[in-house]
Amino acid sequence: MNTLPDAGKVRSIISDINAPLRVKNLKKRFGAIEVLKGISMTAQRGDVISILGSSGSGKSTFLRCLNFLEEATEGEIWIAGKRVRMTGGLVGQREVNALRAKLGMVFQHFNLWSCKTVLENIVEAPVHVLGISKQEARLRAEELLLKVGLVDKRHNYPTHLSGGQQQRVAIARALAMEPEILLFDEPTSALDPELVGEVLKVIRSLADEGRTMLIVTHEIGFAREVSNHIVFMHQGQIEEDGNPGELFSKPSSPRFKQFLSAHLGDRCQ
Amino acid sequence: MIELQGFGDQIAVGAFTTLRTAFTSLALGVCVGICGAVAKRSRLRIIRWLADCYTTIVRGVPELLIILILYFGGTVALTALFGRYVEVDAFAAGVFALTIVFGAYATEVFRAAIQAVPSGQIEAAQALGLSRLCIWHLVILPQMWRYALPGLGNLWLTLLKDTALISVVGLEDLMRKTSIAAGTTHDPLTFYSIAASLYLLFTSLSLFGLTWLERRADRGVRFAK
Repeated sequence: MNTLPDAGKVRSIISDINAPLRVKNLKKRFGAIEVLKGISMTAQRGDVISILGSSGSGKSTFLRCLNFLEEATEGEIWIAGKRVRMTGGLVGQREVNALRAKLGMVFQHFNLWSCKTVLENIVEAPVHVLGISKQEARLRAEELLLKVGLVDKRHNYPTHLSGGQQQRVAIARALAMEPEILLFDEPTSALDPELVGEVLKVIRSLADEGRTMLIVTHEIGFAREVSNHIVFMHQGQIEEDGNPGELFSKPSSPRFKQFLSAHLGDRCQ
Repeated sequence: MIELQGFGDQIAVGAFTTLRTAFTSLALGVCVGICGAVAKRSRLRIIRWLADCYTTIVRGVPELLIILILYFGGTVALTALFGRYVEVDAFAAGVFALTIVFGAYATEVFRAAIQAVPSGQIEAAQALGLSRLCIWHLVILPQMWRYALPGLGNLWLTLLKDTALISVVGLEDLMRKTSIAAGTTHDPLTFYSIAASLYLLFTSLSLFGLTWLERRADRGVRFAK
């Protein structure tokens, strides 16, 4: 009789294969500078992973590599079970676009198209990339706007909205593609302090829905409260990671301790 | 049309030819300009180099010379090709020359305009998985116009007046008809003044049109509605 593999192990392998995102040994070099020195991470369905780190630690570059806005130099990325091996050469444009459609990206500076109305901003990609009808896309867009509380602004142009409102539209635009994962690149860093709350509220509600998300942020309190996993990056490497409860109560890396005390002041001591 | 010693009709025909030449060259020149700008941003060095050569040469040589070279060069080339003397149509030669000239300057205008489109907006489109063609059509083109219009407006005014140069190769435009009338009637001042006011009329109307277009292109960018 041949022995069956351990059921728990099989389950974990299968869940790894089906994970929305898996990254293995991702490296990125700009010329002589190595910005990412081998990042590995897995996001299971429903994970909310916050990535912390001081500026220059490579956290934004990491996100940009995931949707190919930067081409990683080395490593492997699995998106919804589909593997892309980075060899430094060009990955096929069509393949890249298909993968990008599965990742929703929210940028620090919103990057809404200023020539299009709020509604058009949300409708275009589903129509052109997913091929759904204009009418259906419009209905879906209005639902999403309702969710982020901006349905009355649907015919406005982005410049007529506040930063917080623009970011909520940008989130709706990403959601319209029904992505497997949402990537947030410092979504509140460009906002006036009084507008941060409304955006965090939307992100929190998405976490509550069980969406898989990667959030690069400086809002440590928010990260602690909303995520089930925290990653601290330093100089292109994952310096420390774990669940927020443990990580914040007893950080082991001196750099992470330093980072926390710098950001939280004496609350951490 | 007023009598004008019998030349009124001729001048009207000339004015029509001038407008026809200018508008045809504009339409073709804009296409050439966009292609030139895209070529200048190409990943292939050879294409960038060709585009650079084109704009450097055309912008560095007097327009009148370009018209003459293309007209006589065209005659020589077509004659050699068909083995018998071929007369080049003045309208076609004129439109061709003006398109080449307009296209070279427009290439630079469009190149700057494309660069002015915020790169974040293009990244956002890429991140959504939109194809390059879609990004052009949805994000770059609509915004590019806004940055290109002031420059293009200038080029259009120059083009409209440059049509007068085509009269040297025999195009029966406003300029040529006017000079015939002036010569025949021995009343140059009247006829040249009429031609000048017609050119001025066309350019003034163009300015109105341009203002309207610029306002339209500013939709969504300016706060006042």
